[in-house]
Amino acid sequence: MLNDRGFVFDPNTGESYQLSPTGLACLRGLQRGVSVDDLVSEVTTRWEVDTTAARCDIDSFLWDLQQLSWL
Amino acid sequence: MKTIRIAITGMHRGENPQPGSSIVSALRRRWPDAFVVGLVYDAYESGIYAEDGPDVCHAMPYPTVGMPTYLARLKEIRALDSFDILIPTLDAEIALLAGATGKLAALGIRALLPDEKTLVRCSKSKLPALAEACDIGVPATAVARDVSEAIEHAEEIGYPLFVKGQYYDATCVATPAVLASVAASILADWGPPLILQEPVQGNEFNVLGIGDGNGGSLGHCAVRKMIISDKGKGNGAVIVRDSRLDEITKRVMAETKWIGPFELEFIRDRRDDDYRLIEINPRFPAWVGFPAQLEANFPAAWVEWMITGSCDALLALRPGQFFLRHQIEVTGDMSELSAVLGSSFESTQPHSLAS
Repeated sequence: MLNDRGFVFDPNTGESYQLSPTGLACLRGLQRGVSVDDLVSEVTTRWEVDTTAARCDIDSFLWDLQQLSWL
Repeated sequence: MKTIRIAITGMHRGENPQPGSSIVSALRRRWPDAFVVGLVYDAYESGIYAEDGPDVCHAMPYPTVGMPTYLARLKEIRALDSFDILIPTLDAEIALLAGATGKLAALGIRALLPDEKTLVRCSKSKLPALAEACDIGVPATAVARDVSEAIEHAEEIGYPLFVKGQYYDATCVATPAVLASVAASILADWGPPLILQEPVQGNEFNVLGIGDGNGGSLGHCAVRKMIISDKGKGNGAVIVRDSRLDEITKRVMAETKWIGPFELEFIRDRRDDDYRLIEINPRFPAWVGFPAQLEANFPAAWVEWMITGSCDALLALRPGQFFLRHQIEVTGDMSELSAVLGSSFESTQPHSLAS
């Protein structure tokens, strides 16, 4: 369960999370089936961050999502 | 359906809340004109004075008096304020009354309870064997009759560990000296056995449901505790949906053919993300009023089922809905208090405490 303010509730674990705006954009992108390369482009376009840093942060975010069994 | 006349115990809603008041409220949601007899042990049971509390209250002797005296008092109360159904809500009452449904029926009281054998099989001390039969994980557990035996078992399990009474009390102890002190205290309060249990780290989950006595259930509701009091009570919890909890609950029902309300307590072990069954409570939990406010009225379903043999389907509730325990002050008058205080269980005077 994800709302437009980035609040996520995991119905399996009962845990809740607050995503940053960047995290919310990435998760919405993943829900739409956007590729990781396109996510990096979207993030560098919308926020002042270079491609290397954006890819590093997105990889880290994807790892977190995998740990939560969301991917 | 004629007016429901029902007796309910466990009216206290303090720091360690009992289920009775929530059951009364839930039943009044379905049957506003239900006649409720509160069976209490103490005039300070706060639910006596709740706005939607029992219509009348009567003092009961503690279950330790034994079956004949307990049943005699129920008969005496029923002669004063007739009721047809009894919902005991405290572990010690259920231990006393399990298997006594025939004797209760002879008094005109309907109460569906698990038999003694099933109750023993689901008790804390027998949980490992039941869990094995159901292929469910449990923490390392040992049973001791006295303090020295407890210390011996603790050496095998390792410190820290939980020491528990058969029905009540659970304390985490870190040394043999503290174990000896706590174990002696529990034995003095509740008698043997002592249950020693490995502590498991992880979030706590509870499942409330009603067994149909044929290996199935009338429905269940799973929550994760969000706020835990220093007594280990869930002061807040959120509804979750995990097919593993559904499956475990089904297995326990199928194995035990449990009849009546139950609560399964789990910890989701951080080490492997699997559920460990900690306890089976043979009654509604204190948070039973929560799903009742969300269109899953377990007490009403149970009463309907006891009366008619069927009930409306209990809805699977949407995950993400939560409760927070909210304490308020109830008010009373000394005359009400004295009415209950003056009613020892030998008394034949009713206590009309209806608002």
